[in-house]
Amino acid sequence: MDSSNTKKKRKIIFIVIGIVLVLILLFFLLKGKHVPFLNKVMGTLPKGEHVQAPKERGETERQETGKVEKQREKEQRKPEPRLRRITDFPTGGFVGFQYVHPELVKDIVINAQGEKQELTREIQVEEDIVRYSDIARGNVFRAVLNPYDLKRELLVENFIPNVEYAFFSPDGKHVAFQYWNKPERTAETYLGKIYKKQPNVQPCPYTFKNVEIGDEGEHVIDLHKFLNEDPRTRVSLSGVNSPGNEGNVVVPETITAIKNFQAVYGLTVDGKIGGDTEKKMKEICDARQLEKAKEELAKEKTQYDMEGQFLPKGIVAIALSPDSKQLFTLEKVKDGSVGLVTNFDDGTKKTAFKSPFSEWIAQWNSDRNIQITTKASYITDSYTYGLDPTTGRYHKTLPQEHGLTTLASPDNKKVFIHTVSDGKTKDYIFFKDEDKKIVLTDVHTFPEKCAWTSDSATLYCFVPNNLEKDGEYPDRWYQGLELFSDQLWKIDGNTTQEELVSDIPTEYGKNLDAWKVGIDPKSHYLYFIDKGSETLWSYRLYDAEGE
Amino acid sequence: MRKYVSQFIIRIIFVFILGTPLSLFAQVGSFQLYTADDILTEIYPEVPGPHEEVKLHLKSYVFNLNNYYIAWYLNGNKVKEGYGERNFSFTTGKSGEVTRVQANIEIAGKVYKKEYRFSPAVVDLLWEAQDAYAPPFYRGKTLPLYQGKVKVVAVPETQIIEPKDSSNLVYYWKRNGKNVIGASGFGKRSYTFETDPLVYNEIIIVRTNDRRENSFAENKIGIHVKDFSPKILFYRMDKSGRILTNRALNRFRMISGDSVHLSFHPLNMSTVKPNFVDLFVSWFINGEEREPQDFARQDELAITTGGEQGEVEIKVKLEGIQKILQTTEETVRLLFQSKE
Repeated sequence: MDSSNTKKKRKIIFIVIGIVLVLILLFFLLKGKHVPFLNKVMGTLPKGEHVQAPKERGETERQETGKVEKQREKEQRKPEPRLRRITDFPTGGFVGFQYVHPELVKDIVINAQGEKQELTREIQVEEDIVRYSDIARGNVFRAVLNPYDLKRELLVENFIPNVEYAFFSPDGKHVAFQYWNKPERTAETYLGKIYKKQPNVQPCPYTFKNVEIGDEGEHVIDLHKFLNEDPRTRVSLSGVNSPGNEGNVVVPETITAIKNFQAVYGLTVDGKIGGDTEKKMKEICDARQLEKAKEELAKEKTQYDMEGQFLPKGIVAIALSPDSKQLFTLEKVKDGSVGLVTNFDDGTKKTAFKSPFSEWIAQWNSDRNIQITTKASYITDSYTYGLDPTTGRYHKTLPQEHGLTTLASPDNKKVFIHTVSDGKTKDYIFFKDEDKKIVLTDVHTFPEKCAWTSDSATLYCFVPNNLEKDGEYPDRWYQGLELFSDQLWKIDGNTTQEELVSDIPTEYGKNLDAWKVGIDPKSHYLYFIDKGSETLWSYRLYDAEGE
Repeated sequence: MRKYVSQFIIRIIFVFILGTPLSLFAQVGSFQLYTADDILTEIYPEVPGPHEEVKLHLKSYVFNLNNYYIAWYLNGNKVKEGYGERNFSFTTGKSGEVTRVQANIEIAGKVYKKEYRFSPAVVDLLWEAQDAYAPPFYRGKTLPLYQGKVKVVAVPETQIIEPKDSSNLVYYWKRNGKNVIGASGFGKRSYTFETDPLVYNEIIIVRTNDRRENSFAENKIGIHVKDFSPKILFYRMDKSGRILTNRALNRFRMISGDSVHLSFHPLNMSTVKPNFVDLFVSWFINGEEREPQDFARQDELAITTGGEQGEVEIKVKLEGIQKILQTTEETVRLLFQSKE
């Protein structure tokens, strides 16, 4: 009796030890295992939001609507410097924006029973994107930016040489390229629309109809080929009717394969190609054609293409509307200049402006205002007007001044002005409603080196650390007789308080002369082209984790 | 007896003829020897702009206005009155805003009215050097030289009129004090002329008149041609023929390597023909005159030092063929460095 009890006790002990060992084993297996899918979303959320690792076994991950909050990774990544070079080739133009798209993520969850479960869900991912083009050929590229990474890809391959200027619409879907026609001394302009390529889906090559054993014909070969495309419905593994050796005679294996097809897709298994089976076969065939087309597309060099047209020669100014729906072009004609507004949706054109004068610069800053300013020289007056593209009426914004250049704010209430007064550079913010000017004390720069945030609250400016010949601007700069080394400043749009953001030469050891400055709608990044090297750069405005 | 009757009848007829107008006069009142036109107004400025103070002063060679009661109305409201109130001032509104002024002068029981209507308008005078050369995509303003063609454009502000109406204004042009009859008239918004080598500062005046609104505007500008000069800029060209205007070789003269392809660009010079065939072009390399390497592209030069380092002096001299007063030259000293 005693020995049987002892044996029983031993058994229990061994079982308990065994369970404990299994638990320990499981514990070590799962310890430290990171969930690979986390890397997909890590760092793609702006403002340094980090994704949290799922909770340990026994807990499921919590999710807030539209966002994923995860724990910091044990190894913290260090963000890259705020100032980054995006291209190493001459760049004609760019546009920065946010791109929100759905993405599927898989959560690996361990439940209370210690079982792994894979849950797939869709989240909205916002990425900072910049589209830009090279001068050499007008190729369009895309870069995805985050503080830790910079991914570039070719979006559209083009063959337009020497595209000096590329004016992108704010949504990046339209672009106007300009290159110089030297013999005719005029600008040539090409207006393009960028679109995502669609798979070139071929129709299903097979016809389906009911067959009996012994039937012959091309339709039988088709049927065999179709069935052999799926291992689950293969007619034969080898020999006649195997993949690549499809015969034209219906054999018993053919009927079996039909039955297998019916079973896989939940149809009545009768070996006959009736209404439902035929319909399903066509459906599956079409789906396979679509997949093939997608695979072919994925193999192509670019996933986007461009279609467009050449515009008339002699376009002296181009501006795109803030809503990305319209294009304003000012064309030099025999008697002066004509301003046309083209609607992208329906292609209609409307004359918005006519003048015997042709030396204009245009900036479409708000829906109902295009700021048109005469070209400037320090030695003579320039004029600036606000043109309403809907009515064609224009009003003088402020009195003319020597060397006047302008940058109007998106809300059309403020204008950043550069002028020359008494032989010296003078910059100020002009408040339209109050009709008042506030002179800036530290910032002496040019509107081409500045960008307003989309809410018009802040003006970011790259400011030359030295103007060699004060008072002779912007001429010297436009003529390429001087290149600057800039600091980055910001000016409060309401108080005009000036603040140094970065002394770039000192902090980064770079001498950059910024021009063609832009900013994305959420003010995550400033983008600019360095005039000296003609390369594209970005400056991150928000703080990243780990900074 | 008959003689006396005839004379009597004649006298009656005479009196009747003479008396009728007199009696009419008697019925109407006093004979209107004077009208409101006998009261003159001096207005300063004659063509006021927006937000400008305007002064009116009444005077007459017929009446002693100091003795009479004068009331002034501004947009229908009486704002000033009194004996001898000959002066009145007010400020115009914004461009296109109409201001009505009326002066009522009481003289011997009669009120003489003087009415004025002010509709200030703004007209800007923009000018451009029509035949002046600029490098590709040059953002700056070109400046006219002597014998250069200048176009002056009147840009009226369209507060009160539709843009298409600007051609319905009448424009009167004056250059250096003289009326330009041929350039003046309805819708003649621009005036083009060739600068005079004997005139340092071209003074252009335009006066616009919109008769529908009785709106006048005037403006005057001076184009200081004496202060403007040509400038030859040199830019490098890359293998594809693109002109690199971001860095002028005038300033950035270091060349890495032993060869360079460049072109000249005569900013502000009057040249409109392809290949600069309206200029005499002379190239000098290290002081020695050379013919253009390619007469079809006489603005371009490609040189190589054959691997040697050193400085090369390049000079270009340009003269206008028709515009003989336009001449200029420029020298650049390029420093070739060896390839690493």
